[in-house]
Amino acid sequence: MVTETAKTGCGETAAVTLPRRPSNLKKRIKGSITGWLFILPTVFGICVFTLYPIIQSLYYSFFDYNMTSRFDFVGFGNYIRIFSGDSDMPKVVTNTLLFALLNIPVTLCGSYLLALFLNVNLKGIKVFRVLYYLPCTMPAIVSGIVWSYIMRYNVETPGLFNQMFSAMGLPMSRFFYADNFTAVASIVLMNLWSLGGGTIIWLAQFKNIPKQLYEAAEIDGAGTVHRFFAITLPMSTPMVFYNLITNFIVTLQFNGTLTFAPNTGAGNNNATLMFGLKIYLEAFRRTNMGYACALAWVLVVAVGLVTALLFKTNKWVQYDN
Amino acid sequence: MKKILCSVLALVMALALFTACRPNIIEEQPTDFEVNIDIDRNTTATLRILVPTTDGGMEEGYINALIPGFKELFPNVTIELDRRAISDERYMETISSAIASGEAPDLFYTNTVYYYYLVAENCIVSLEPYYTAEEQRYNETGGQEGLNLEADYYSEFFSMSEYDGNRYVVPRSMDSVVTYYNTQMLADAGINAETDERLQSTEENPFTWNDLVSLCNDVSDYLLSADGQQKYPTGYALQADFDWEAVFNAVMVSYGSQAFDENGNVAINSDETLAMANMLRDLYEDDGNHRIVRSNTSGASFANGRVAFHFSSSGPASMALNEGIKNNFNALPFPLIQDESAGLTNPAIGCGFAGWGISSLCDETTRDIAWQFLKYMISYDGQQALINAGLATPSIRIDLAEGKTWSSGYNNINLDAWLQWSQYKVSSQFFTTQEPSATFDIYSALQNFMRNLVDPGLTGVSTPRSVEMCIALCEEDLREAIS
Repeated sequence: MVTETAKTGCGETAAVTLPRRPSNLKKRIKGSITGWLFILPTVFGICVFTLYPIIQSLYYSFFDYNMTSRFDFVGFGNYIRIFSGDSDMPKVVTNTLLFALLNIPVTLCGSYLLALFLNVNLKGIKVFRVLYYLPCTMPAIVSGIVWSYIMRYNVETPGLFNQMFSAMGLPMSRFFYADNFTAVASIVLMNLWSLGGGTIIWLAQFKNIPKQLYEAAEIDGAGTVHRFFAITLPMSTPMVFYNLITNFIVTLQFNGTLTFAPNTGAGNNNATLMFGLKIYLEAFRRTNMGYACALAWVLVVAVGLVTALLFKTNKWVQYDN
Repeated sequence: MKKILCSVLALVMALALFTACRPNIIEEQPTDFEVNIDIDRNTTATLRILVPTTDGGMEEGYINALIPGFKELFPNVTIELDRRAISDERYMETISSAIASGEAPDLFYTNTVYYYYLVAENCIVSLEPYYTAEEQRYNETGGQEGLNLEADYYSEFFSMSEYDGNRYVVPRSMDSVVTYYNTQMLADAGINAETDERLQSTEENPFTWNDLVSLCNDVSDYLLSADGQQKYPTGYALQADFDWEAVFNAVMVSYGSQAFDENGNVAINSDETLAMANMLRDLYEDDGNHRIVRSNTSGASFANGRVAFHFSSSGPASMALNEGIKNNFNALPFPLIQDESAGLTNPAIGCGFAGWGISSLCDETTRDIAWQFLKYMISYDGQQALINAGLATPSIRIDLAEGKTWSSGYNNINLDAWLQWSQYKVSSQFFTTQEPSATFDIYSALQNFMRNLVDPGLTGVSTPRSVEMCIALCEEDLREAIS
């Protein structure tokens, strides 16, 4: 029982005795127990499969750990090695940035333009939408193998592209086998294959643009181009921003060359060795798990910094109608 | 609510840190320990044996063939197969993942290249205590029990897994590179395999590299003729598989070329390597049509009958499964590279082993049982079971190998090709002076070197790099591998 003061009808205060209320915490737990149970599997999954490995990888990054016989504390040794002792790193950073600079604009603009085309009201346009999306249903490993055949460089049995080049009298290209910029450019070219995936997101965004805006613009005499720049593009900026960030993260983590490029994905002369692949190779090909964890954390920080920078400069994004 | 959430997260973090403190690590193993070779027949145990999933079920078939006989000896021992992807690229990943997850097998599958990683990473135990105990028993019982490797086995194949004076692996058979030849193509080219002096291999007249090159030139001439073009439009003389360590190692050793010197420094850039590289490049460029030599990583053995000569360690029974060459092949030893005038006096034949080593994570009983399994594998009955299961390379036992029972039904084939010149047989050791984690990068560097020399098309270059450039690139790759 608790004693509280209460005002009487005459304005006087009087001490009254009230039954004890259940504590705030107990009440809230009781009220939300169903909700807790619903999210329990997810929370458990996040803790075990995400949180735990994150912490573990941070911990391992301070050790020389080779997964079999060595687990020695090296402090920041792995991080120092990334920035000063690994001869691969200049090439890795150059390739990754080059790939990001090429791939992000090409895939963003390409999928956006494709979405604009697929958004028009034409008879049979749905067939095209399905056709363009179809490659995305193919597992990455399968498409990687298919593309390695398409771009194969071999004097006796060249791939489809090189056969076309030969037929036109053009010199063959080494594509993924090249030991220079051509190898990264080939990956960007290959990624056009899955533009349909991004297109779906753009189409969903276009459908959310109120029709009244276009109707009003038409009444005001705005042409197609004007309507695009005045309505479609500004109204798409939230999705542009979202795609920019996700594309950036995916591009920095890219390790798809593993399935098709020579030299375990690193290419000739490490032409396709990028950050994501470097982490994989260090972890599993060379079993330098501690070093691989340190690389992963450097990537996390780099992605975090760039994402923060993008958020700081997002004034061009138009969030309201 | 926030407090609860924070508490849960803090707890998880603390638990994570606690459990992450010390992953499964194998400490250095003693090489001298107590062993028991008198295991009670009724011992109950489970033995997990690593088998590759990437060889079409071949090794799994061999283990399955051994199980019934072993179960007769130890009826209460259960054999479990631990199937994992094993390849040059993925061996370290497979093994380290198995150990890190605490799910390591009791017997590790390995070969001439892989064993060094297992030994250097403390994954397998030295078998010396077992060999010593078995030899002692052999002497005590007058050969009724125990093992005598020198007397009954090709002991050099057991020694191939030697490291710091200890042997770690029991080989299941003897793998030796031989030269297969396509009798049909040679006949088409006008070469009589029965009478041609170059296709003989005797003590007085060994089959040499010069013989092979001379034959390849003749075959190449035929392939470029109208008849040859019609019958074998994409044929060539030699599928050498120079990117296979058993082949390139033998050639390097013959020329005195080495990847690293005794101090572990990169030593590929030498006069010996240059001489070897020039010889290989000459093979590639000899007729200007690149019809002599071809490396091959596709695994298409004998290029389905489109080549005249092919280096392989497969037994004749395996080769006969190839429709492209079935009934049209014979074998010679690997050609001896010897030419006193050129200073080549150290011919070598590539050989190796596939076998199993005992995990150092086994408890004592399981380790002793694992040894019994390996002992059964190399026993007469065990080897016979392997032969019956299709193992078509020479047995590791002298009696079975020389009796040619490993290839019964193929007595028209020159089975001595596998056994001749045992004094010249060498296994790959080019990585043992380096960190085990560098093994496969070193291997890859040497493979690329060979491909650059003899099959530039595979590496995607339009104009073959000069021999000097190939060596320089290899040197750079090797330095990077060990850096």
